[in-house]
This record gives sequence, structure tokens and C-alpha cells, in this order.
Amino acid sequence: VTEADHGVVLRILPDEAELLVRKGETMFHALRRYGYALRAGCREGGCGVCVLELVSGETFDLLPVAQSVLSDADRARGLCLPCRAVPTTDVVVRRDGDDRLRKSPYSDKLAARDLSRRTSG
Amino acid sequence: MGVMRLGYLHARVTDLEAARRHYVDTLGMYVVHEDLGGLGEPRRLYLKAWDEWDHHSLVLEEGGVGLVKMGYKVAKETDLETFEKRIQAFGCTTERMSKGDNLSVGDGLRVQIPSGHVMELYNDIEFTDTAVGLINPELFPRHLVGVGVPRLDHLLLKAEDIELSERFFREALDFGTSERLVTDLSDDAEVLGSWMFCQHKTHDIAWVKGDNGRLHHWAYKLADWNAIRHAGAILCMDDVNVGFGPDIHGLSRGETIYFFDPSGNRLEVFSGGYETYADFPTITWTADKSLKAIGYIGREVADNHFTVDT
Repeated sequence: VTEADHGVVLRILPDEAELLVRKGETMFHALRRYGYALRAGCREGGCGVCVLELVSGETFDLLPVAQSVLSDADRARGLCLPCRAVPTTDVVVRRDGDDRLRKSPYSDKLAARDLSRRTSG
Repeated sequence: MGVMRLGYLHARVTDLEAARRHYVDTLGMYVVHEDLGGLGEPRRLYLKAWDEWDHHSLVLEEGGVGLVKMGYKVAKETDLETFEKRIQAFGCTTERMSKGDNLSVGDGLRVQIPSGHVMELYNDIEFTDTAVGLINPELFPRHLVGVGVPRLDHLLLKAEDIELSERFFREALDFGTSERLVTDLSDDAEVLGSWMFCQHKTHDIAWVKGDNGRLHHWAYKLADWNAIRHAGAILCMDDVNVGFGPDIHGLSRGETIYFFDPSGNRLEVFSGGYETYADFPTITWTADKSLKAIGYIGREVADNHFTVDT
């Protein structure tokens, strides 16, 4: 049993990229472990530049986010900050069309390896 | 007579304990006082850096993000009256603040400056000495933590009308302009940024074009390029998010790393630069060379350096 077995799956649209998020880890932290990157600002919940559409799934914020950055109304519209949001279930997010999913030469390979280990139990 | 320096700033943080770890363990500042909050008052943490002699230079309050206000220290108590008149003559309203409005700070002047930020002028603040003392001091404290920032240096704010901010600081407060960023050298060029000094620093306050009331960063002055390198290593060890750098600013000739505190407020460690004087001739940068002005070596700057503020 590896640590990844306890994770949930993060799926990024429209790229259809999938990776495992460890328990208690923010989306950004998980992305970075695999060498993926999305548009980011302060990465500390202070600017809102990284905002994503949370298509499905549940998250909580690792640290508080100011209402001026992401309001309750924004959350009700299904927005989340991947620098703060820790998934508690499998989640699907959609990046904005101006953003780009960047990756290292090993990102997809590492992500696929962890996912297959998880599904094969 | 005159404004001497940026003495303190009050900033908002979303999580005071995360902020404490950052400012104390990573930056090496000392906690000098703590307000527990309640009765409508936020929790507050008062901090100072090792080579500062006044009571505090940073007040963090829990709730939100961004700048609450900034305090500039004037040379003499009587300067307050002089500046009060000149600020009012400029057309800004002032209000008197009394001893105790700010912990350890005496009577002073509060003004909303043209860029919408709150500025306080004061002369009286409790002297609590530097960490090395004034008699035969060592070069630095033996047990500095993390980066070990010595002193608060300057801040960069956003303003919709930079020329108005410039005029206010020049006419009401005797600041000079060390450098400017303009669209081009034509007669109808637009001013995109301005860096101003009140004594001999490269800059004590600066503006870039943006929404009034916003903060781009505040900076701590380190000894030299090697101290910037050391700071960069500490930032990595503590997994601090770095925005830009290390690099050299063409504008100001300062060495730099920008990074974010755990609430997303942008900070800078800065070294080098040059000395200014009342007759310092303003240096001009044109927008087509702005990347060189910011990052002289790399000449590439992430978008978020321009877009992210708090």
C-alpha cells in the first residue's frame, strides 16, 4: 500500500489530465509534485489569479481565503482556488481558455503510474 | 525637518499563525507585542527587524489581505504642523491621531493620500534599541533566524493617477523622484510608474499604474547580493512562493527576489541601489525597456508580477 492509495483523483478539463491528490494536499501541491502547472499568482489565496471552475466534487480550504478574493457568491457559482482547495472527493476542474496546462517531460508518465497503482489496488 | 523614512506598516493576513511562522521563522523578525483581539478588534501581531531601533515596523492583523496603512516618521515634532498645513493646502483632508491610537506611537497626522492609501506621519515612537545595541555593537546578532532581515526599506503601491501622487509627495512632503517609467519619450507620454525618495535612499515609496488603494509589495533591505542568495535558499527551504528573481533591477540597480507571505501579500528582499540627494536628476525608463528595468539579467518577467496585488 502506497501513500497514493489514500488519494482522490483530480481531473483537469479540457486537457483530460488526471492525477492523484494525496490526503490533505492542495490541488496546486499535487500538480507540482508531477511537474504540472496552471496559471498562478501568489499561490497563497491572496490574489485569485489561479481561480478554476469546480465542475464536480468537494473541497475545503487549507487556510482561510479573504471574501475580497473569493466570495461566497463566487463559491456558489462553482469557483475555487487550487492554491487553497484540498479535494475530499474525486474532483473535476476546468481551466479557463486563456490558461494552459504546462508539464514536465515526466508529468504524464508519473501521474499515470500512480493512477494505475491505485486502481490495481 | 522632513520625512525621514517608512517607519511602519499595518497589513492584513488571513491566518495570523501562518503569518507568524513566515515573519518570525523565515524572515527572522521579532514579535514585540501581541493583541489578542475581541470586542470588534482583530488579533494583531507587532514585529520588528533586528537593526531597527523603534518599537515596531510591522503590524499584522488577522482578517483579509493587503495594506491597512503606512507610517512615515518625520524628523521633528514640529514638522507635523508644517506638513498638516501643506497637505491641506494641497487639498487633502488630514486628521490628528493621538498618542495611543497606535501602540507606542505618539501624536501624529493621518491622511488619505491621492492614491487612496492611508498614510500616517509621526515623530514620537518608543525607542527599544537594535538587537546589537549601541555600545561597541557586533556586526549582526549571533542567533539570527532564517533570512534575518535587518530593516524595512520601501513599498510600492498602485495608483490610477501617478502624476497626482508624485505631485502630492513632491509639493506637500518634499520627496524627490529618482526614476520614472513612461510609455515613451514623446510630449504626450503617459507615466506608468514613479519611484520617490525623502532622504538618501534609492526610493522610499513608489507607484505603478493600477487600482487605487492596492499594494504591490513592501521590501526589506539586505546587505548585499550574497545576502539575497542566502535569502533565496531560505525561501526554498521553507517552501515560500517566489514571484520573481533573483535578478537585478535596471531601475534602481537593486538586487532582488520577490516572494509571497502566506496570505498572498508580496514582499521583496532588496540590496544595492544608490544614494540620492535633493538635486538627484530623475532617470527615465521607457516602456519598451520595462523588462530590463525590472529584470536586467533575465529580461523576462512572469505576468503575475504586473497583475497580482493585494
